Amino acid sequence: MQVTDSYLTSFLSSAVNNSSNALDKVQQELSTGLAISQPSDNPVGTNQILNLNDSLSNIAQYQTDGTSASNYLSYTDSQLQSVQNLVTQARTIAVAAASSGTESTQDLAADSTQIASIITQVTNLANSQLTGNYIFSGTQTSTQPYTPGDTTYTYNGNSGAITSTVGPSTQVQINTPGSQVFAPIFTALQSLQTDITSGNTSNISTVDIGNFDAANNTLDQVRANIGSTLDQITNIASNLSTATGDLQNQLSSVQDVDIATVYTQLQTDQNVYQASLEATAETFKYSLADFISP
Amino acid sequence: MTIPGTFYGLNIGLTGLTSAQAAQTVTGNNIANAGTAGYTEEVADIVEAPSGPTTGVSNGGATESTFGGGAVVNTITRSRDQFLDAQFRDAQSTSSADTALSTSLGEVQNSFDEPSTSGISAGITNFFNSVETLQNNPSDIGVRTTVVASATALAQTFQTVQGNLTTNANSVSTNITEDMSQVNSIGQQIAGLNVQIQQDTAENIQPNSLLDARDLALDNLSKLVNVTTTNGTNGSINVSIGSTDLVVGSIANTVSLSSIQSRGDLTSGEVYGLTQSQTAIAGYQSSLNTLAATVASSVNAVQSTGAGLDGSTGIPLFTVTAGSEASTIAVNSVVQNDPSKLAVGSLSNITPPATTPPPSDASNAVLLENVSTTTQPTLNNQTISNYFNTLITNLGSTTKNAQTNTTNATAATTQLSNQRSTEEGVSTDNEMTNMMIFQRSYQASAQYIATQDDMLNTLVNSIFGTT
Repeated sequence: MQVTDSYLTSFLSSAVNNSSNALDKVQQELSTGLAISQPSDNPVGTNQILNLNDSLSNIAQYQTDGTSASNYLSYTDSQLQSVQNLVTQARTIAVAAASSGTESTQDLAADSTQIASIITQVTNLANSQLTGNYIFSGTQTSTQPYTPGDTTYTYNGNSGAITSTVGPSTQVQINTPGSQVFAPIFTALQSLQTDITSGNTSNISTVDIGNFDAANNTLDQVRANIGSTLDQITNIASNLSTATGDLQNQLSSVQDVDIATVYTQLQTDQNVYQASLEATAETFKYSLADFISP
Repeated sequence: MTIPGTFYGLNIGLTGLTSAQAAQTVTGNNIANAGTAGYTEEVADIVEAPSGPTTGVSNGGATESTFGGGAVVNTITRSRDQFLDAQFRDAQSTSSADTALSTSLGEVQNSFDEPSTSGISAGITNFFNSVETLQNNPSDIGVRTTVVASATALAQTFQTVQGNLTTNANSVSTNITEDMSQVNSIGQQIAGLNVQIQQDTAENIQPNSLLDARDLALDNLSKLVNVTTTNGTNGSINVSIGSTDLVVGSIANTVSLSSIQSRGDLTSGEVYGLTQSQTAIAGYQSSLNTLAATVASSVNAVQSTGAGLDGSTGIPLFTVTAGSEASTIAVNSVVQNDPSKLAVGSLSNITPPATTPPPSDASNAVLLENVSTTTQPTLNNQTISNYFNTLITNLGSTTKNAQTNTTNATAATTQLSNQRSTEEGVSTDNEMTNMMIFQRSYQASAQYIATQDDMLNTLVNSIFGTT
């Protein structure tokens, strides 16, 4: 074969182009830090990246929702804790009043006042709000569950559940509709107040104290439920954060360039590029014309 | 044997001079065109001239033999290999098709902008995640506004991507139109060259530069479409695309894309690659329409079962125009202006019956979020996200295949092109060597004439003397 000038030009320029393209690709990888910047770079990897990104942003959402669910539940629990303290206080008054051969009319009047104050406090707690919503009125969160001063203690909310998605197909109820908790408490307080006013001490010991114990049990159960839901959210949150780490590692292994490998590749490609440039320059340096005399 | 005439030798010297000069001219032309596109190396085909008349005087000898008549340039031939040309053009058609397809698909990939945090994939995930936050705060207008905003962002991303794809499709069809008009103009050019070549051939003129021009035109044509050539009369060629005749002798037919496509004649070349890309883009656009239609219908179906904060019912979240869903999908302006109308709650199962749902009832938001994990019959029983991710993965594989094909086909074309340029191109070093050969040959012929002259001088002086 004869080595023609057009052959040399096309051969050398394609060699230079090839090595410069390879260099360009490596430089792009290094500057973006991404091994995949187009789906065609790695179709299977692209699918993984899309799915991993979906999973990661779903988890982030579960975590956000889990945190606000925890806050809601903790706040509910602390309000119920206060209610429970008041119930215990009322029971103490009932126990004292039951043995009240010793109590004077003045003491009874003081007890009655105290019970009235407890009723007000419990009503206030039943009307607790979180970011403007009544937490004990079911899903009727814009309605006060108990109207202060209403001596019939009518529950104005509903039994609707507010749920939160805290994990993959894991929904938890975060609200406690007030009727199940507060109805027995108000009944017990109202009965105690009547009995104190009428001096019906036997009724206090046979009925009222038992009422408070029952109300306390209900509170214990409700708070235990809240506690276990909080535990569940904490466990899920811990699993989610482990999963996030795993998924991020996977994402990184698919998506990110291995700096060491790519940098080595960069060196190699630079050398090849330089060599092809030198070869091109050397090839056209001499011609037969340099050696024949005119 | 009979001996030649006295001045016969001078004549031989003269043919030496003229043929060396002619060959040197060819060399000069080769060097001048070393860098000319489509130029074929030419070779002066020097043959021995037929012997001239002899004197009839015999100098004895047993055998009769004739003296040669010197050298003569028979033809100036092009170093052309028709078989290699055909191979090169086939390879070039294939690589042009692959290059056109992979370049176009690369642009389609840019249009989708995946994987990224701003594409449709992220838009779908963000929308359903924002729906999830509704459960905790169904009555919060801020949260509702966020949901409407993420729905708007998703709709806009659909529109943007579909718009980009339309731009891609338009630029592809513009290219096809330009290419087809180029195909027809090259056809006319070849027909014109055929006419000139036929005339020259009839007059026994070697039309080398016309042949080069025609070969170059065929090279250019093979970039655009698949080309078959057959030899016609008097040096003309017939060109066809599959079974469709483009050039028959001096006549160029005007060829349309639809006609060669309907006959299945288009099998490679840039036009073929572009039509493949056109089909691919149309496929992606139709998939996006299906996806946008399903997003709108499945979300709206859930919306219709619930109620807004104000008790409004039956208000869809998305509006679409059938047939062009991805480019028209938008958030219903009623919901956009008043996010409280987003159907998050439900009027069913509430006691006592009421005209507005309880403010913190998010039962419909739960159903809405479930849409994201529901497999959709319209999406080959995939979820919304999976359908889109599969679409992108397919695009990636198709593009990668096209790129690999392009690399391979281009390498094959380059290989053939190099081989062709080694056989058909000009080597300046070779030409300079030839230049020296012809120079020496000219010098020797000149010297031979001088010697002949000397010999004649000897004869003439011996007869007539010098005194």
